[in-house]
Amino acid sequence: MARAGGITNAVNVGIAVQADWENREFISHISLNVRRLFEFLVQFEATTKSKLAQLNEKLDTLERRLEVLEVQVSTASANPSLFT
Amino acid sequence: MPPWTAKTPPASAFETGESVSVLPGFSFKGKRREGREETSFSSSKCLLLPLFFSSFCGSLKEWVGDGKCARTSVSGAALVPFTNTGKLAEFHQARFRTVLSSMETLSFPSPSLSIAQDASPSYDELSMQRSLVFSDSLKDLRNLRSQLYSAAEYFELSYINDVQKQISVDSLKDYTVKALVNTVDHLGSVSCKVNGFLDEKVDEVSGTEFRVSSIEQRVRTCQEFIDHEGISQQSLVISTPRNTTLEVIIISVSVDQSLPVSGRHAIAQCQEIDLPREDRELQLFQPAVRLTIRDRPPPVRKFHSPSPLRRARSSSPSRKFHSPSPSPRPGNLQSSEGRAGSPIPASNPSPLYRYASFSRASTFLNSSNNVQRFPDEPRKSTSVLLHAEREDQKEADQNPGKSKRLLRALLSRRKSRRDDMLYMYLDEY
Repeated sequence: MARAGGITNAVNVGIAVQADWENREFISHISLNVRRLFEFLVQFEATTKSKLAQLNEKLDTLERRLEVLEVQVSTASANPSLFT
Repeated sequence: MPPWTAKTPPASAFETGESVSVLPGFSFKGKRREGREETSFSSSKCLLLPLFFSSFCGSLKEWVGDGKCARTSVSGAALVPFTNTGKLAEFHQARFRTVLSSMETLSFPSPSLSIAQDASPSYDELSMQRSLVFSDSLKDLRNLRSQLYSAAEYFELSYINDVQKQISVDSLKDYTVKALVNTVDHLGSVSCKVNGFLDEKVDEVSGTEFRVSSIEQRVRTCQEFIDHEGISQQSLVISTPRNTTLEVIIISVSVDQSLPVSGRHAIAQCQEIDLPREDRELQLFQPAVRLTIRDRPPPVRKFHSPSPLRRARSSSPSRKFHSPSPSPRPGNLQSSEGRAGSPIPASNPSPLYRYASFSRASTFLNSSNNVQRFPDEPRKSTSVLLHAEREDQKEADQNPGKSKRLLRALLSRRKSRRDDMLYMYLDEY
């Protein structure tokens, strides 16, 4: 009986150890994928920021060019003798 | 490479039933009951759940990260926006559909899945549905944080107080996996939307830049045209004074010769005469005419005999004033026009042309001497010339009387007295 009880305890310990390893493996997988998700989010943030910066630069350039065009058109409209 | 990183997990591994749902509207009590009553995770199935999660994360990263964001990486080496974002979005949606088709057993509503499954007839309705789903997913993503915190508290309490700890652990694992999957789904959807929106705006800005460039090019072309027109106008303005002086001189000469008294009153009327284009072309022959006039002797001398007295008078100041100027008379000019070396055609019927050419020649001769001539000057020169000719004719009429006196003096001269009288007489001349 004692021998059978010892075997049973050993089996239980083995099962518990296996369950513990499974839990650890699961946690490691979860943490790994959370890290991947975090990396993706960081990369996406950087990409979006760079895109937004590029877009902002383009819009600034466009705004300046439009201002120059507006001044040129206003100057030309103020001097109608240029078109006569 | 571990076996759980396979990209296509087995679908049978996710046959966990409809026990757990971490989606919005999730009530922990009800799910707790579901988890306790219905969820029966075996150890093998619990091990397979992370496999799906890792593969799904990898697929999502390829979907969002490698597909679009990896190309527009932080290094900024390739920031070129996609020209055809529609096809790319369709490709990613199809790929995401295939990935989510394995998730249908988990039976939680995905926004992307609902987008893919709904087939609206018109584009506006479809876009409206997509925008609504996107806004809902954004709200869910905002609420997900609070849900995760409350779920963590609940599982902690249940693990401490509850007897069946294994069941609570299993339900916690299931809930964690699904919550993470749902988070990845939301983040992928949002990132895809944001990326597409940014690409669309970049395309719009590029189109606007092209339009502005075309407008700038048009403005530049207009400025060049205006500059060209201004240069042409300035060149015409420079050449006009030359023509006006010529016309004034022409008409003044003709008027002086025809109307010597009332010529000044007629000049104003005659200045409005439009010369033909051939007269303008005669300007090309002006240097040649000038040469012919310079080579030619003054026509005024043809009227007088080349006597020594006249030669002596030609060196007087009044004669010096007339000798360099050609100032030809029309009759003499017409006789010399028929020469072969003359550039002006002899068959030119209009006398105005000849007046014009010679008056131009005179003006250019004077201009070559750097003397500024005014329109009144030619009239003065011609009038002075006529007066001198009249004086010459009077002197010619007085010459017979003077010669008689000279002969008498020679006959009645004596040796010393006669010589003195002769020298005195000669000195008078």
